[in-house]
Amino acid sequence: MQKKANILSKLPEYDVWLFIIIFFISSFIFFFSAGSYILFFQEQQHLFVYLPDFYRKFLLKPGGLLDLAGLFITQFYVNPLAGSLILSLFLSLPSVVIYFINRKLKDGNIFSTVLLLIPSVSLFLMQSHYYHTISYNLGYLMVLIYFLFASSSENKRIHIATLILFPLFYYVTGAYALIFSGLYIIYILIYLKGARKFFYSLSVIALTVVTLLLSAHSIFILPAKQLLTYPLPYVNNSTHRFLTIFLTLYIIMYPALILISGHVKKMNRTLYIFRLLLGFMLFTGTGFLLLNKFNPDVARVVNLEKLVFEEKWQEAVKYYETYPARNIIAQYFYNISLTETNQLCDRMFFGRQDAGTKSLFLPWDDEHLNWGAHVFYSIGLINEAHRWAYEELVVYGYRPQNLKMLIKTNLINGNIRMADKYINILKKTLFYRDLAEEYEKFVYDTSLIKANPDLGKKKAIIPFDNFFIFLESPEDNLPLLVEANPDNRRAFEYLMAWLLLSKDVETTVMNIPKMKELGYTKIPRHIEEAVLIYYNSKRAMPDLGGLTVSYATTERFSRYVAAYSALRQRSALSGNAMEPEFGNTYWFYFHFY
Amino acid sequence: MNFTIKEQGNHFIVVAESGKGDYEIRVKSRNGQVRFPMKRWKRMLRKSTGDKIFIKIISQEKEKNIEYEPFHMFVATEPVDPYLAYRLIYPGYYCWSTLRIVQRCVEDFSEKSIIENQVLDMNCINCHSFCNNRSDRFMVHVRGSKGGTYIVYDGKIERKDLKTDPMPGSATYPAWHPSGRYIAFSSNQVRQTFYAHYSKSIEVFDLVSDIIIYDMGKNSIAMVHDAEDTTKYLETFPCWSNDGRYLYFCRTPQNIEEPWRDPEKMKLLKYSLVRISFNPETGSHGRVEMVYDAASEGKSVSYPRVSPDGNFLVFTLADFGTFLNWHREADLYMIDLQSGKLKKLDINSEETESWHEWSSNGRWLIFSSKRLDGRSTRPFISYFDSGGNTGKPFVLPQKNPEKYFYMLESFNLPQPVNAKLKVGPRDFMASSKNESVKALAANKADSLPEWDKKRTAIKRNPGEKPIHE
Repeated sequence: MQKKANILSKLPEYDVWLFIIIFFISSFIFFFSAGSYILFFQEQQHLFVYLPDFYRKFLLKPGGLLDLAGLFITQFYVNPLAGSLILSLFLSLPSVVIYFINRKLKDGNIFSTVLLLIPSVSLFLMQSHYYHTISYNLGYLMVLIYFLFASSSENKRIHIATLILFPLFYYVTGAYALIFSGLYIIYILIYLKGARKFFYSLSVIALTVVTLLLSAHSIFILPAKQLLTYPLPYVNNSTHRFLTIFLTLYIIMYPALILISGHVKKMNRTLYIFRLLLGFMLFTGTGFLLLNKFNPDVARVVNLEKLVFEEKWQEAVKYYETYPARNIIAQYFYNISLTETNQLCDRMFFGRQDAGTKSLFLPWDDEHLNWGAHVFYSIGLINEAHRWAYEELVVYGYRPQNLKMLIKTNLINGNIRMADKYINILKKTLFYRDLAEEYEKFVYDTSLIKANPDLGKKKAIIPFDNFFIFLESPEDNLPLLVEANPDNRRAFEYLMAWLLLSKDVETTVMNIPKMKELGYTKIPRHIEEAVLIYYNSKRAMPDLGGLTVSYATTERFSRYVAAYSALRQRSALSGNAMEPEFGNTYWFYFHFY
Repeated sequence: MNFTIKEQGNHFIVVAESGKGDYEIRVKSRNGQVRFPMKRWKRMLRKSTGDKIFIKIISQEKEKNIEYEPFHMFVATEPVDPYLAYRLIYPGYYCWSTLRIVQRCVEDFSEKSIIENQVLDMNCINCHSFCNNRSDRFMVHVRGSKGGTYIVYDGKIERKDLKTDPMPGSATYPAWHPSGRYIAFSSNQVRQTFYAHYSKSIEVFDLVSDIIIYDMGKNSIAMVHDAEDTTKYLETFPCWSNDGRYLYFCRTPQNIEEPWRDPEKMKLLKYSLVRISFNPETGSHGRVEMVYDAASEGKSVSYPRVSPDGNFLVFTLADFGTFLNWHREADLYMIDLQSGKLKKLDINSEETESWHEWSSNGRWLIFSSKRLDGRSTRPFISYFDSGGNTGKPFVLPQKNPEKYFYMLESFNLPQPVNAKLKVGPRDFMASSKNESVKALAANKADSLPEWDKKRTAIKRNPGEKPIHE
């Protein structure tokens, strides 16, 4: 019996660690596999640049250091293995810290394991949203660590030290310090006795108010709202908002929760099993919520973006055709990848195109600012690609993709000194130094630009004649680009893709006579398909400028017409039956989208 | 006067020696960055006033020492104003993030914000102007929810709404009358359009623009029209003569249909320099007279600035256009107002020169140049003697001499100021909470001409956003 009792007294600690380890491993598996897109997305949102001017803006606001630390850690996401390990570690640490807090507050009880896991689990769920950054996890972790220090002893000196260090804590963590204030007051009111509880709780309130007032009026040049909220989580998602509020209140009320749950002190084998079950139920519920909230389209878009960023165009085409997405940005990346591999009008309907012309150019707004440059770069309107990338830099700061785009566009346009400046900045990063050194070769020897497969190609298709760029109707630039440089077949195909997606067959076929001048020896597949639609409607072949429609397309069209007629006879308007055989044709798009 | 040595080397010794040879500073550098100790450098300047400072650079290698040919600099007897106020801005297009107008002490490296948009709802801050370089008379436009023209007069801030019905746009480019009573503005509807060709990126132009004069005493705005001239003009960038008896500005006949549709048409926009007489006592003005007919020479004038002694007028000249900061060919020219002679200043470079201002004593010219990287404007300072000759320009020194290698922000409109400004961002934040005081039309008969109305209504595309408004 004595031995059994000893095992039970030890068991509570084992299961806590077991659950933390299970949590860590589960988190790692998720972020290394299905959730790996989050790492790439976040790594691309910021660039940690080792320059004094980069740090400066973070040092001028409370919470800036926390944000800076988050950015420092995020740069390691460039490696998915390291990123998953780091992220899982920071998600698990709150449980570890609370474990030590619990030891100061109350001994283990049947709820303590679940209670200590809840912050980590909440943060994990929040982290499954791709806009939840690691600085948010760090913020809550800092609150818990500071509370661990504050609650480490009831000794007066610890409380005074906590109060003295509070302004510094506010400077480091910003508005997270306010969460700490709430947590500390609850703790003082519950765990301290006599007049001390009122003295210390009033002191915390007074100190918090004075710190905020001094910050607003004398120290920082920031609006009050920012002093009260930065850098707390703000993600435009209802689940995330709910979890943020829940977690914040949960942490503030944690001492009270421990106290209440501490009343259930009895511990026997049955209750212990119940405690284990609670832990597993928490994990099961988390898994269920994760599955429920997981949006595969987002993952696909980001994975596709990664391939585009790495300029793996063929892989991007294959990826999208294997995992099509009902998403404008995914379709946009697909069309760019096809353009970069010169197969836009031969292949664009092999992938889903239900966004129509919207997937060719992204609108000028905050949501699309970071991706809009790619298309202009692909079709040779380098000035416009530069403008988008530059505006992105102004709004969002340094990012790998905007610096890379700015380097490339400046190299192509011959602005070597500006390219060099961006290269110098990129060289001040940990993981993009090599890329910067690659580009630096072009600065030292500009003749290499023409020889480079990507830069040389773009330099060859930039407009020779000048015109003013149409910003609101970017498609209007396409004929001007072709006119300004007849070698720019990419612009021509983009124009044709626009016409195809607009279902403007007549204008599409009217452009075919220009193709021979542009060096075409055969008509791309989807344009051929448009020709046959025209023929079917007008009963006459248009002027093809000496080119012909292939036998394979004609034969495929005959089969399509037969299948379509059969479908109409059955009065079935859905194209589901035809999709397996004809889903990759322009005809199918023309009739069913 | 910190600087960077670009030559190869692992260990440099830099020796600065006063002209008389009675003072020396020796600095060592391993990375090529040369930073002189502040106190010692100031002492060097005191000892070398009106004389030269010689700089000797020695590169120490294992095998041998390389001693480069010494160079020298002159230390003028007349000081430049101790502060420089400029807006730090990414030279972008539509978007902005944080914007600050700061004052930099040129006697050391300290920099302090005058106004920041972080405390003004992230509004756009632009076009600051000082009256006679005075730190207690200053104005700045803010566009957005906290919008208005914030005027600091003898240290107090007032938020004004300087838009009256007859004006084609809001008050835009300012020029403060030497008396402090009036501020002349051009009222512009500014637009931008983007080039496809790699040689140019952007053209900033006016749909409409007129000159107005704001009377601080009466809180009223008068339109400046030459009643006897029936030609329609675009008029912009006003500037007062030193005695306040003339108002200079740039203008071009508005006879080009929709220049924003065709780069060739845009090239026809050529502004000349004109002036009108002005009576500060009554606020009345005379007829327009031509000062420099740049258009007839196939050129375009922008941003005239008269020297404090009234003898010289410096302006920016380019092939066409009005906002010449985006014109690579833009250079600084000077008219001797006594003789009428035109001269290209020898402080120009292959890149854009613009946004020039005079120091209080007229012995220094502060101007913006893109010569370092072709895109970002940097403040350059050049000595200007009484005969109209310029000294070799130097870039505003920085504590970290490599700052410009990495810095992407431009120094917009660097203006010398005679003392430290006492107002700061919190004062502007407090003032932004007050209702703006609306200015009145000085002449109720003034109305916006029909052609201005038509042009102000033009939207070249549905989502077009104006700038400076």
